[in-house]
Amino acid sequence: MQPAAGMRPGGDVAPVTRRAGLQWQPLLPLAPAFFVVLALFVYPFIYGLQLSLSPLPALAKGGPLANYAAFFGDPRERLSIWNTLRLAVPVTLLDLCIALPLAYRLRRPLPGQRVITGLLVIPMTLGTVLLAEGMIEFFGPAGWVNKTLLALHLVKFPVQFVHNYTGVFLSLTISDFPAVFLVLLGYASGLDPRLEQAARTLGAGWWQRLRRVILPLLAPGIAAAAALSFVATFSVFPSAVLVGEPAGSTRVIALAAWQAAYEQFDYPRASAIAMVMAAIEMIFVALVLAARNRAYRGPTIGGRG
Amino acid sequence: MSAETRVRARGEDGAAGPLSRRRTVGRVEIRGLGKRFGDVAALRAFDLDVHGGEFVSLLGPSGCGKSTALNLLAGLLEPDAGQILLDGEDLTPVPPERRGFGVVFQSYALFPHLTVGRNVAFGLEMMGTPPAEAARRVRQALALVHLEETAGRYPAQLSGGQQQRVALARALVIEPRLLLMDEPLSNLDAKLRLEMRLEIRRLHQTLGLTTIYVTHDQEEALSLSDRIGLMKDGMLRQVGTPEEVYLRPQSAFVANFFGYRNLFRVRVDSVRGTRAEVATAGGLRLAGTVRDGVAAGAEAVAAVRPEDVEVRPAGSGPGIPAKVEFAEFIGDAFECSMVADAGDPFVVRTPSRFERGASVILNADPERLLVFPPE
Repeated sequence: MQPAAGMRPGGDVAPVTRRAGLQWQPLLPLAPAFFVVLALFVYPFIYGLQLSLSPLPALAKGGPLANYAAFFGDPRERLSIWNTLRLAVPVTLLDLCIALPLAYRLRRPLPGQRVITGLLVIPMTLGTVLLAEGMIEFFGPAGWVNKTLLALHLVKFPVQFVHNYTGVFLSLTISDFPAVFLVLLGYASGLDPRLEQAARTLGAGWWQRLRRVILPLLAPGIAAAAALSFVATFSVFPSAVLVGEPAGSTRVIALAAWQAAYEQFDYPRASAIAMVMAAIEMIFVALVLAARNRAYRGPTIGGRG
Repeated sequence: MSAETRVRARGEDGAAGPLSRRRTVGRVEIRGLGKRFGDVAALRAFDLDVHGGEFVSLLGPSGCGKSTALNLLAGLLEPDAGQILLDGEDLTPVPPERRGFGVVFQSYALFPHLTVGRNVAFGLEMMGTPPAEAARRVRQALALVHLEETAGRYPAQLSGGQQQRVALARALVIEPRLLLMDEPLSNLDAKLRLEMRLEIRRLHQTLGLTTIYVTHDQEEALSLSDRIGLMKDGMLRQVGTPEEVYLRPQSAFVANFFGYRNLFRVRVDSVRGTRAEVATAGGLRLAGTVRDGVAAGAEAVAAVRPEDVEVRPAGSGPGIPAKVEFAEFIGDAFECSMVADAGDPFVVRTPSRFERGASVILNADPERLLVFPPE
């Protein structure tokens, strides 16, 4: 995510100020996007930030950071961060682990590839609510999964898959998978097969090829997919309520913010929680991108073909 | 001794043997190798013996099976039939990572995420060569291709010719028993190609590695090879030294590949010894030298090189009357397109200029006009 050449601060900007009339024109097509970003992202963010720093009268004597102090001072509120992290991190890792070998296998045309890819991407079109409905039936006490387990005498009583941590975990894993898969597929299909062949002829077995050639070249894709997946799962809300245990193990941070806003009508407090949420997401993305920058960035083909 | 232990052993004794040691190993026997892709036979009944240290080119037009043959040798494709023996050991079931061959790809296939030094060291690291030893051999290999100073750079920072040298160094550093090269020069511009050709020749003469080299460029094959294998439609058509295939092609296909640009479908009028009289469709009568399988009354192909047809002004003696269509100056001569009065086109190389439309007399040396059975 490098800034476009002409927009880099410093030297490149100088001629713009000197000959403003001419130099503005290339930037003109960016104007709509600029205003959309301003209106939909920058303004709400700044608005929320200042709101979070203006606590309601009850907390006003605690100073502008009173909402943050209240959030971090309350063990139940603090716990919502942990509740969300223990969903978002494992879901992201699991989706990466499932999607990586699939994307690698499907990187070249195979018979039936379009059908397989299509099936893998379907969950994206379902929406959380439909998925939750289906899960409650399918994984419920009288659903197919429990019926099968009971029929095979693997369990004596129906296993509870929904309305707990497992339910949200499964729901997020399913709904998040397509995005992870599609991002990785894009990167994997750009891998030059000759590189692996070259590694083979140089004596690399499959593990060495994976570790020394394939994974390093896919690192940017893995980072992008991980960042997308984490941000999506960290802001989980509907499935935490519908197939989770919103009063307990799946009281995620988005739920804490919602309760502050719409049960206690404390907007400033809710804004503070949203800011905490954003900060954690930014920290995670920054860590992932930093890790990626340590790895190789560049084309995934060797030489000039 | 299994292939794996042998590869290891070589990795260790490589410490003692400098890269310049001349080799007596690397004898390749290819027996009845075949490969089909669906309904297409990409390679059929491919037999070839290459002795230790020999440089053999596989030459042919695209789609002739030469790259398939190379990929089979490298182990990157599995053959449907046949065997590959190296120094008597059957390597057919051995996967590429345990064959220990050096392979240079057309696209170089350098690892873009590794520096030049790490690229070259890759094969040594896979063998478990001790780091100090590996570093020494990497330096040696880079010196061999005159790239010592680029070890810290990435492939994308090098020119095409430099990348090709790195690819060579990476293949050579593992001291392969067999070096395989797949059109290594075809991505380079003409001047660089010539330079790298000399470089490859020099490396081969220094190291004496058994080399199998795939190319579609006859000049490259002629200049580099000890022997050339001509391929067409998945089959080897002729194997011989550059002189043999150039001077004594055994078929019209091989002749055409080596500059016999005048090819005529003919009927054989008579054969006496090696001398034949033939007639083209236009009724032009030519005398030539026959190859096996040509009998009087049969269809045949007559072939002659542009430089083996003599041109003189009309009226200066017997010969084939013709007119000049156009002349191209090609530096040391003129290449002229002619049409015989009988209607047959000729390409002729001549030291003197003939104007467009001029009437001339053509004479082809019967020793050098070859008559082949039809393809």
